[in-house]
Amino acid sequence: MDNKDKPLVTVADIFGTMESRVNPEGVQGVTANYGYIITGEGGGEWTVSVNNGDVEVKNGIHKPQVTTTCAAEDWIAITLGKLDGMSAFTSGKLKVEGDLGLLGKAAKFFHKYTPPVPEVTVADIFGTMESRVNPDGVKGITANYGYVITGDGGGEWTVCVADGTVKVKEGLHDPKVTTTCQDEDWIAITLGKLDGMTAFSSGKLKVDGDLGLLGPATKFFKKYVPASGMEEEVGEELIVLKQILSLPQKFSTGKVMGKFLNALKDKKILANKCPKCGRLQLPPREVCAICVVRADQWVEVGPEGSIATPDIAYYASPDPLTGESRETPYCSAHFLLDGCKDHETLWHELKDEDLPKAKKGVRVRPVWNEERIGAITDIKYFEVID
Amino acid sequence: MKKNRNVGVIGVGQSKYSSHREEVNQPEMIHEAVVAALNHSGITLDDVDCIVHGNMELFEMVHQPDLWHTLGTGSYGKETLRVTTGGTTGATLVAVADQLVASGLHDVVMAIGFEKLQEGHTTGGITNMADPLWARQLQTGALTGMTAADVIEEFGEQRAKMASMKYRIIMDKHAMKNDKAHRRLGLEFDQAEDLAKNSPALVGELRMIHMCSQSDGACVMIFASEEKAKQFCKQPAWIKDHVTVHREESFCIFGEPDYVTSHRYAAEKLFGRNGITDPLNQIDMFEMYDPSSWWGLDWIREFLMLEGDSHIKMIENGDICIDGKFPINPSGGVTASNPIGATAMVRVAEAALQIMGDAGEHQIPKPVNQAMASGFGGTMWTVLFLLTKDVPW
Amino acid sequence: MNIEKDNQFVIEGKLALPYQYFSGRTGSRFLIRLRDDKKINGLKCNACNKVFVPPRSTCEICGETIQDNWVEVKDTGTVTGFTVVRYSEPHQPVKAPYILALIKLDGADTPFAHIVQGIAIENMKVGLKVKAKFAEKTTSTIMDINCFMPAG
Repeated sequence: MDNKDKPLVTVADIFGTMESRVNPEGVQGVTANYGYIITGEGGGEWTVSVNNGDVEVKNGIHKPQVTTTCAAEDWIAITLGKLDGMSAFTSGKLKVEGDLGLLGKAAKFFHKYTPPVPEVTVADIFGTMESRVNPDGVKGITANYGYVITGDGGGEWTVCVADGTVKVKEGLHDPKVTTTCQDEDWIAITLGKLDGMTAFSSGKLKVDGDLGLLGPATKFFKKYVPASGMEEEVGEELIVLKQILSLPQKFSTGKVMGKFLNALKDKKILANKCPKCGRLQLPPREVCAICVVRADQWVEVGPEGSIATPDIAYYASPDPLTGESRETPYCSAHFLLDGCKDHETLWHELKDEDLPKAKKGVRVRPVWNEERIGAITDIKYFEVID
Repeated sequence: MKKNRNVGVIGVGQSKYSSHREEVNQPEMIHEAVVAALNHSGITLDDVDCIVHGNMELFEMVHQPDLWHTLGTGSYGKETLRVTTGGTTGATLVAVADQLVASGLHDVVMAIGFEKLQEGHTTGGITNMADPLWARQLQTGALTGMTAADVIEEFGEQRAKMASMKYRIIMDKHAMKNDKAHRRLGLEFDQAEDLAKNSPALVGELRMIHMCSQSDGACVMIFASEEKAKQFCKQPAWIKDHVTVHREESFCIFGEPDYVTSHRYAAEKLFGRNGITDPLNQIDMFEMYDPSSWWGLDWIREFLMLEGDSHIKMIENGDICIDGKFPINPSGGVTASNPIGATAMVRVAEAALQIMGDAGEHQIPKPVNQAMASGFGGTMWTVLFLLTKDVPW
Repeated sequence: MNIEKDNQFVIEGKLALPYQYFSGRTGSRFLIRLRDDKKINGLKCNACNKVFVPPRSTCEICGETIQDNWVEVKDTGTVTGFTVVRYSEPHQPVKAPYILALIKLDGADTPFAHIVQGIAIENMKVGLKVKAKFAEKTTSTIMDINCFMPAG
């Protein structure tokens, strides 16, 4: 057969079927061009143009905002779920240029790709049974199982189990239990797409004779793999409960943190000092945890200072107040305010526009919010003093 | 210091670590590891006196799972404790189990660490651990590029980047030998330049390739008193000693000047009271909690109390490889598998397997008489263990 | 004015994070059967001779793996205990006051929690016979049983 020589799954087929697999909820509100350069034999170049709900797949690269480069065999493996996209990305098998943030959305654009399935026949299911015997499953069982499969592709078979050996014969031969079923349902049960128990209770599958024998029969054979050798994913539905936990909270400042936060209203930054080791704490703490004494002296510091350690985040963590992802990149940094030394730094954010200037030692000043409520966000961010 | 009585690890069970386990719920996944640990030790649930159970708070957005996990843990009718201390949870579970047996309160204790990260939001969970009054809005989860920046400043960009990539590739080569490991990427050393440049940046020079995985999985360990351990097990791994070090939460640990890390502090204490003056020769292997290859690289120096660039040389010379002079993380470590509430326990479990000789394909090809394992969490918390092949006390 | 008091105030916060929970293969089979066939199934431990509803893949008492021992139980049962929820919270499935009861279904050995409707609170009692009312619009959750109503 042709199928044996030619792989059933091709990159062209994956892109060719995309428009028919669009998930309307996934593409809603997205407008962008995604370029794909698939290298190696069977590869090519495609652009997936998403325009607020409409999806068009074109050959070639057309003004993409993000371009993914990957070898054909890896792209097929990712599509079939045999290679984890994230692992491929991490290990460099899949390379991305452009707006990375767009890629997360792309995961939800399409329904799952199903390879063109070779025709599964009832005759093939019974014909391969002897080669699929699970020795542990048939141990200790002796009985003849009759099967009457109705419909065009049907027929009659008997599975003769005699303590460890299995023979499959055409026709019915003294069965102790006989199962009657439509051909399409029998194929669906074999491929795991229809639950046997559901078929039984809904009358799609009828049983005459010793019902008790059927339980062990589910363990007689190893999984049926359709003729092409392309393993079908088990289609069993697994239930997932998805929710957003959203709870209102209240936090008491206490008098030490309260004093620090209150001072922000007056554009003042207060640290407190350990009477024993003399170090400053910013934000202030009621005690010095190292000396285990109350830190009750107050010192105004800053507000200007310099960057001690900048951290530029390209990966969006969710805002705990909304559950939504933040815009990236952003810079979170430890600032060494005037009057402080060593590790006596204040942790805050740097203005987005100043990201290219985020270097150790650069002078900064706080930018205050017009309306200040006594919260750390009264400082909008720090900005570089030019 | 002397223990009240000796405690041995007699069984280890691990589920497969994976990015997704939709086919099992939480108690079912835990049950896989429980069964594996019971099988490894050759005992039954009837022999277990007490169960300690733990994972990260908030990571799955469920509370007090120990209640309904009874189905998978086997804690029906048994004393059950829940422990959660952030990233160190798994290590603290081991410490608690050890103390429960050493004290004489129980003879056999089973410790269970698990996480099902796909169900929750790791970074979100971590963000909520920060002080809500001032740090929450700034928290980037567990990701920081500051260590990378410090290492690059000290050793120069090229050497630092190549050493951290070599560390990462060695860990992947180890993971390829461990069929429980989650990420087994098949990296080769000649990919170092390319990965250091092209792996997507997360924070600063911390790239995706450097960072630990987010895994689903469970680890179970069974601890027994000396008498019971000898009865059930031919070669238990003995818990000789452990040290837990916490530090204040608000301290900035990056930048200058240098300060004593909780790792070095813990190592000094552990070595001091166990007569270890030359850790590289007196200890045979180390399972280290390495959340990223930048931290893994940097912390070798701290845990082994080294100075200068000798830790970098250990990586450059391949000393930390499974067949090297001082093997580190033959399991593949945390960059390969990270079911967080179990992760720190996996370190002790893997060290124990090396002593018991049961690590399978990733067994070190030289005798393991003394092993070290570490846990890490919070801002800078350390739990450090010393395990031995001979009965220690 | 007390300055110390001025420095002790309360900041409002919120925690909002997405999560998901996997029912697993066993939990999914129970929910799918409930959703598609309006049948309630349990798992039986042959060693302890107990039928668990909702199902669990392991017997919590003896530790036996029981995930293939499916049995169907009736949609009728007996109230073994109850409470009246009288306060309102946004997460509650119905408006307070309502009756939350433990119901042991005929054929099951374990009671499970659900809502009882169709009876005045003052008439509610332990031992009441009830019957499941299935939901018309399904959600693949235990709320595919809308509630239990007095039987007969």
